[in-house]
Amino acid sequence: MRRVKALLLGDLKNISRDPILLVSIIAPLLTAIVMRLGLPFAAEMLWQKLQFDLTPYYNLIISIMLLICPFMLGMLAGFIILDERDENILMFFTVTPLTKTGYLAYRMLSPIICCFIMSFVMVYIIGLVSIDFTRLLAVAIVASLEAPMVALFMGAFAANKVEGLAFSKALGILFIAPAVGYFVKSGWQLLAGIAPTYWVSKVFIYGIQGSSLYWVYAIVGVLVHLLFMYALYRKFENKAL
Amino acid sequence: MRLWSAVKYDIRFQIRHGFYYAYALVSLLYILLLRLMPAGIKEYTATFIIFSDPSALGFFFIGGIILMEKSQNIFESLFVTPFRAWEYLVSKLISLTLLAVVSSTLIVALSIGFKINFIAFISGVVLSSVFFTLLGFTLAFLAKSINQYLILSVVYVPVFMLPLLEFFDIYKNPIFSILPAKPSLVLIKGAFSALTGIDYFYSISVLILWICIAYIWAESWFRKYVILRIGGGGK
Repeated sequence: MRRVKALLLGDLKNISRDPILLVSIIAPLLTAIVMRLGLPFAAEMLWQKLQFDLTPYYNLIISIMLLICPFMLGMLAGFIILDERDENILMFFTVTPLTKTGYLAYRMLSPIICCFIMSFVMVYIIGLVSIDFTRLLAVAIVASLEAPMVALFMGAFAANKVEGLAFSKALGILFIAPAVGYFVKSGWQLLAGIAPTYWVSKVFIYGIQGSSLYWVYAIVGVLVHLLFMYALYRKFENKAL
Repeated sequence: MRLWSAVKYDIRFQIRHGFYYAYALVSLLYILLLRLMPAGIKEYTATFIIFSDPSALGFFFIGGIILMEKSQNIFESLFVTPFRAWEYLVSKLISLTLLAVVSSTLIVALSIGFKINFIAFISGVVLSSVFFTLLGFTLAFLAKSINQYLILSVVYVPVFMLPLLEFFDIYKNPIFSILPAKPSLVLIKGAFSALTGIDYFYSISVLILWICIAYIWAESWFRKYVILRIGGGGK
C-alpha cells in the first residue's frame, strides 16, 4: 500500500503539471455533448439534402464514440510509460518492491476506472438511444478493458515516443471492425472479431436491441481483451528496458 | 546539398519509425469509409478528412520528433556542425509534407478517382501541411512531454480551426476569412468544384502569409528555446 501511495503522490503532482486526468474527464464529456447536438443536426442535413436517413445508424456511431474515450486514455497512459522508459524511470520502478508488473498494473488502473465511469456518463449525455443499466454495465466493462490494451500495445511495440505516435495513429484501423460487424451480414463478419473493438460495439448494439445475445458477446469480448492483454504483457515483459 | 541529405535522412527516420506504415493504414481506413459514403456527400466528407488528418499530420508528429531529439540531446551535437537552424526546420517541413501529399493523394485517388483538380488539391495540402507543421514546432518547444503536447494542442489549435464551423454550416463570421483553415478548405474543396482566379489568389496568399508568420515565430523560438540553451546545462 505504501508503495502505491508513493506513486499516487507522484501522480498527483504530475496532474498539476500535466493535467491528464482533467483532460480524460473533459474530453469524453465534450465528445458526448458534440454528439448529442451534432448527430441530430447531421441527420437532418443528410435527410434534407440527400433523403438519407442516418437515425438507424445511431447505434453504430455511438458505439464507435464509446471507443474513443478508452483509446484516448490508453494512448495517454501509453505515452506516460514510453516517457518513463525514455527517461529510465521505468528501470528504477522495476528494481523497487513495486516490480514491473506492479508498475504496469498501477498505470492501467486509473484509465480503466475512468473509462468505466465515462462510458455511463457518455451514453446518458448523448441520449438518442436507450439501453438498460445491466446491459450498459456489460458495455462499460468491455470498453474499459480497451484502454489498458492500447497502453500495453504502445509499451510493447513502440521503441520511443515517436514510434508511439505512429502506433497510436495506426491503431485507428481497429475502428473498421465495428463497421464490418454492422454491415457484413454473413458469418464472415466474425473475422473482424480479431479486433477487440468489434466486441465492444456488438455488446452495445445488441444491448440496445434488447437481444439477450449481448452477454455472450460481452463474455467473449472480455476474454478477447484479456488474451490480448496477456500477450502484450508478455511482450512488454521481455522487452529490454 | 546539405538540405537534401537532411531531407533524405528525415524520410528514412520517418519510415523506420513507422510513419509511412501508420499512414498506409490510416489511408486505407479513410478510403473504405469514403467508398461507403453516398455520392452526394463524398466530396464534402473527403474535404474534411483530408484537411483534418493528412494535412495536419505534421502537427501531430513534429511534437514527438522535437521532444525526442531534445531528450536525446541531438541538438547539442547537430548545431556545432555547419548545419543551420533553418535547414533543420525546412527539412522537417519538406519530409512531413511529402507524407501528407502521398497519403492525401492516395485517399482521394482511390475513393473518388483521378478526375480532380490536382493543382488546387496539392497546393491546399502542401500549404496547410507546412503551416500546421510550423505551428507544431512552436508548441513543441513549450511542451515537456508528449501528453503535455497533445493536451496543449487542444487549446492551441482550435482557434485556427474556427472556419470549420462555417464549413459545417453552423456559424459564419467574416473574420474566418483571414484564418488559415478557411483558405485551406477552399483549396482542398476546389479539388472537386470549380475555383476562380480570385479564389486561388486569396487562398494561396493568405496561407503564405500565415506560413511566413509561423516560420518567423518557429525560428525565433527555436533559437530561444533550443539553440541558445545548448551547453547551458539547464534542459
